[in-house]
Amino acid sequence: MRFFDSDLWHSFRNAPVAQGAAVVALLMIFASALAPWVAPFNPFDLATLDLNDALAPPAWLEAGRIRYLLGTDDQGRDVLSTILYGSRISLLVGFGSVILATILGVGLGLLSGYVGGRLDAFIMRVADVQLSFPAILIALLIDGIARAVVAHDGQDSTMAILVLIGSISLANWVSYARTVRGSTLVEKNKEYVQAARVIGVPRWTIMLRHVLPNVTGPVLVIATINVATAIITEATLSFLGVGVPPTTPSLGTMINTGNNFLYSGEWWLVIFPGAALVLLCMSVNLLGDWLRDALNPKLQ
Amino acid sequence: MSAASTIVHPTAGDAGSRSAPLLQVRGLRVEFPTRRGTLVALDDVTFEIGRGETLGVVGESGAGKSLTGASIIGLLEPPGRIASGQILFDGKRLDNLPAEQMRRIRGRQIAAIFQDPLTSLNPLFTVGRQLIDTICTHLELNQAQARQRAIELLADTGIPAPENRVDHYPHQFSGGMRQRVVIALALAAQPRLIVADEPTTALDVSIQAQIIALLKRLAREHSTSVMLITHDMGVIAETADRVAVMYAGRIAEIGPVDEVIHRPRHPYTQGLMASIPSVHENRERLAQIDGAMPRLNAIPTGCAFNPRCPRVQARCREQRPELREYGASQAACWFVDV
Amino acid sequence: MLAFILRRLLQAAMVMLVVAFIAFALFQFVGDPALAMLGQDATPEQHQQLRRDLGLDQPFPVQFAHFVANAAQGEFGISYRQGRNVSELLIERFPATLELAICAAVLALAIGIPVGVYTALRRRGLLTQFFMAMSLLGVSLPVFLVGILLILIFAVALGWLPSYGRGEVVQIGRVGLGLLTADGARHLILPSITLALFQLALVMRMVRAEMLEVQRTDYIKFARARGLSDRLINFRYALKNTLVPVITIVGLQMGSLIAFAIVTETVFQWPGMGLLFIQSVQGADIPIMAAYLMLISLVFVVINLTVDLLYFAVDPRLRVERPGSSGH
Repeated sequence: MRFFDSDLWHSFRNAPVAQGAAVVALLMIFASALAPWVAPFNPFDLATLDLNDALAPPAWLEAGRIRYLLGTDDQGRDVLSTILYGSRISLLVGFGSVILATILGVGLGLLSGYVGGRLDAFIMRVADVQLSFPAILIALLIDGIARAVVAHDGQDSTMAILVLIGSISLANWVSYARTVRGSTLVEKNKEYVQAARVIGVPRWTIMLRHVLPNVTGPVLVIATINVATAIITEATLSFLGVGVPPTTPSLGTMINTGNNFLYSGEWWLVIFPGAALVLLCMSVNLLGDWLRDALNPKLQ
Repeated sequence: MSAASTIVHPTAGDAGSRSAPLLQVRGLRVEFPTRRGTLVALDDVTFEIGRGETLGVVGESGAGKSLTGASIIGLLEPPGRIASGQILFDGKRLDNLPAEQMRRIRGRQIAAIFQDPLTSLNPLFTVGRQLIDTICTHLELNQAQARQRAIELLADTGIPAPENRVDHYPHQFSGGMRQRVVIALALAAQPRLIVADEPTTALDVSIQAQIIALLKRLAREHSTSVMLITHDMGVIAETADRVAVMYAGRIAEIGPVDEVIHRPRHPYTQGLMASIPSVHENRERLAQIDGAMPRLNAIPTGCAFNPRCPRVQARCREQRPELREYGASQAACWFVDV
Repeated sequence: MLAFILRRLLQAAMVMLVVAFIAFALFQFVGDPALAMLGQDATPEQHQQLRRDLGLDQPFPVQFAHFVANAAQGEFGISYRQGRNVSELLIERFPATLELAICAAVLALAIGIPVGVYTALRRRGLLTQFFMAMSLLGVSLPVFLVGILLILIFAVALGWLPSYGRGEVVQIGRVGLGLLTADGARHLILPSITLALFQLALVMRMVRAEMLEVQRTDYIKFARARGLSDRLINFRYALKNTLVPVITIVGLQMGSLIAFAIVTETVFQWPGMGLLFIQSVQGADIPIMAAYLMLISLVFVVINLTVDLLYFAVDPRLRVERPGSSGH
């Protein structure tokens, strides 16, 4: 149980904010991952939907019903259940894109730093250019191109999710690559690496076994904060109508649909998914902030 | 001749004898509260610096030399704090002064220079600007007069063509030149004590000698006391009148430079002197002191040096020795053979 | 210095070429350029004729050269959906986006920098903690949600401010400015705040972090050791040291303002380029997408270049002079 002796755990125990954030984040992740069992309804089972129940307000208001705790939307779907299922998709895209971006970014960073030369220059040039464009724009662009190329009209949710994961990760790999490259350059010149090369240890082994462990700290911080931005990016793309389709909505799609009912007074269709989104992102951001301060050698 | 000669110094508070020390540090104790308990970085440090005297403070990295300097000038970084003891400047206490009063003393009465001249100078402002701001903070001069004085200061520290250089940026100076600028900045308001923390460590050997010579000359000309912190015994031998040897946050030995170097009393000082290679000797191996200075969280009871001491006895492990007189020096050891 | 500018210009040209290539590829593989020029109602014969005229049967590099030549003159063909000339559409919508972006930028800087400095100087105050909490909210709230919330509170619930559109616009030549009329200004308020919020929070946190770093430097320590006043140290020295690196990042952030304008314009139905772009992505209107891409890249490249030049002007270390060699 060495982890519990470490400085990291110690720092965690003294940071009530981080603890609270971790609790919230974990709670939401579990609730949405287990949505089929936790949610009171399955909002995608058309058979259970009753249009008479449509647009019911939250339970504590007049005309609200206990069974639909947070109200229903225009098709009679329970908002709470839809939020749980929607969070699932948001989290799927969020974590999926971060994992992909990490693999891509770390891989390219290692390669670039270790091999050096023209490959390094090329990769860094691409990274620099890409960095001067905001991630959302790149994600939007890749998404748009993918739509046109794959010729899906945005109604196929599986394809939409895959495209989203791909485009968001392609938009975000750069920070990983640069950090890893920096660390790789530092490690490359250290004596133990040179010794390993002299012995004849193959390059890949050196990179994976020696350089990688030294890099996990900063990468973890970037990844955590990236989860929040990825979730927001997905929500934004869905809100704009180029993300997950309304048939299996993510939180962003829900807000998009709910936006249409803002003026007619059915505020719960926007507020609750919005609150869920904000809660999720804030808790992940707080965790990321704490992690970054805790792992920062300068503040030890 | 120059603006310098028209500056009147505030007279010493108590018009006592000339030999009353300028700086007195008594029983200084500096602590660092941490998650895992309190670390004692300076433990009962006591010494004096006379007027116009140069005191060298020597010791390994981590012995507490810089912390002592920082405490004197009031720039101890939190969470470090002075837990007990007194610092007296011209007979008046410094350690408990409110921030604003301490600020007025800094630069005007006590100045400090640090190790790395490159990072000590603000890269975005001209040398002249930094000089003028310092001068105008402490002295009642207008911009034109301040600029004139700045040029004089640069000339005084050996920078050629000072009337041009005053408008240059720090990166336009070489390493040795920068340290001269740093010294000029420290002397801008004619302080009476300079705390010099490793002023030559970051410089080339050839330039070190020049900077040391410069410091010596300026200190002599302005009757400035200097607390010269360094780990280089050679610099001390060259420059200081007296020297204090620090170990693990305490003073091991203190005395006139000649005495401490040629007749060291404390076993640690003896080890230090013995390990300095000399051109005149014929040795097979370099002598060294076994072991290493203890970390702050693992300081031995009794004498801090006892695990490494060749003459250690039971008493050393139980009772911490105080500074006692041995001839012209003082040493913190129970068993000095006179 | 001249060499530096030339090099950056060359880089900029390269980037534009690459972007042009992507835009061109969009046309080639996804859309039909002949269709773009003629619109959807052309006959097959006209189509074929135009293909020959346009040289679409010519080798790839030649076509690319034509594309670039056209693009340089602002000729991108005709929108698939709207049937109008793409460049005209863009020019029509550009001022609206620019107005929004500039207002948001001013807001973000005018509030973000002072607040950032304040929170760095008063590290543990109550107000500081409040600002830090707000900034956390600012970076955690997605732009569209902020917009919706603002609409909900100020337009729907309170009815103080309008919730969509641009309001009255004063025409100066071809450019319409809403800021000059009271109605237009009212319409600007909510969208500007929405767009500015994320930037504001970011600027604030960055200024704070940088200032805290600067306060730990040796030169500030030395300044303290010289007894300089807090005011002098913080507001003349530390502030300048803080703002110099912040400038670059802020400049680059201006670019993302234009990108996020897309979202803000969607929420508020603001008739700018962003809204146009989104509609074109939804409808696979390739000519607009390609043109927007090139225009945005141009804007970014110009911004980057400007920021580089600014940095050059502000940081003396980057100028040509070498360390003085006049002895030691």
